[in-house]
Amino acid sequence: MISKRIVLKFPHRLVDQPIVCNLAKHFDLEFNILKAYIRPKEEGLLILGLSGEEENYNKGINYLKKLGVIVQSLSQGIIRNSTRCTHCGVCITVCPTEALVLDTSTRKVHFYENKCIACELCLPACPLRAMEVHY
Amino acid sequence: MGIPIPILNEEILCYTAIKDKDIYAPIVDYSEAYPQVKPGVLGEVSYEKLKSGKIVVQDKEVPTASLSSYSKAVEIAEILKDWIKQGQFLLTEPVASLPGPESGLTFKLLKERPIE
Repeated sequence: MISKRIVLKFPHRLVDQPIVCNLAKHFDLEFNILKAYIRPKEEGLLILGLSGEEENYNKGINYLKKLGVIVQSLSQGIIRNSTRCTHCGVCITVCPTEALVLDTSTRKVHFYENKCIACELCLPACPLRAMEVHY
Repeated sequence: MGIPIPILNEEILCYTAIKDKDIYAPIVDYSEAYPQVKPGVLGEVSYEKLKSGKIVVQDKEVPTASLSSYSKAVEIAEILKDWIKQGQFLLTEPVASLPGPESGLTFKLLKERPIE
C-alpha cells in the first residue's frame, strides 16, 4: 500500500478530459484533491493525495506521464529556505496539519514535508518569507 | 541584538532570576477589544504554559507559538557572553540618555477611520 502527495501539471489540451476519474476507475487508486486550479485553455494544476497498491500506483503514474501530464512529488513543492528561517515560530499555529512544529527542547522549528498539504497558509505568515512554493 | 544586564546587587539578581512559571501575560482579544480600545482581558497565563504550545481559554484548548526566535536569542546571548569573557566587550560612557518619564512622550492610540 502506497500513499503519496503529487503535483500534476496538465497541458491545456488535456484540461477537459476526465483523467483523474480514470485513475480511480482503471487503476483502483484513491485520490484526495488538495488543490485544483483549472481554467479553460490554461495549464491546469492539481495537487493530489494518491493511494493504492504499489503496482497500480506505478501504472497510474505511467498513464499520466504518457498522456503528457507533468508529475512531481509534493515534497519538493513547498520548501523552507533554511538560510532565511530564524525559527521564530509564527508559522506553527497557522499550519493545519502540524507539518510545522516547534521542538520544545531546542525551540527550533521542524518542517515535516510528508505532512504538508500545500495549503500555503505559512507563506504569508512567515515574516522572513522563508516558505517557498516550487510548483 | 544582545544586551548584557549587569548584576550589581542581590535585588537585581532576584529579579533577573525569575522563572517562566512566574512571568504572566494577559490574553487579549484582538478581534474586537484591542482595536476598539475596550477594557478587559480574557485571562492571564504564565510563560511556562505559553511555551508548552497549548493553553486553555474559556474552556477551549488553543495552540500557542512565539513571534520571535528563542533559539536565535540564545545564540546571540552566547556570542555576547563569549565577547565579554574574552574581554572584547568594553563599557563606555553613554552618548546621551534615553528619554525618561519626564520627557513627556506618551503612547498614542491609533484611531481607526471609518470605511467610506
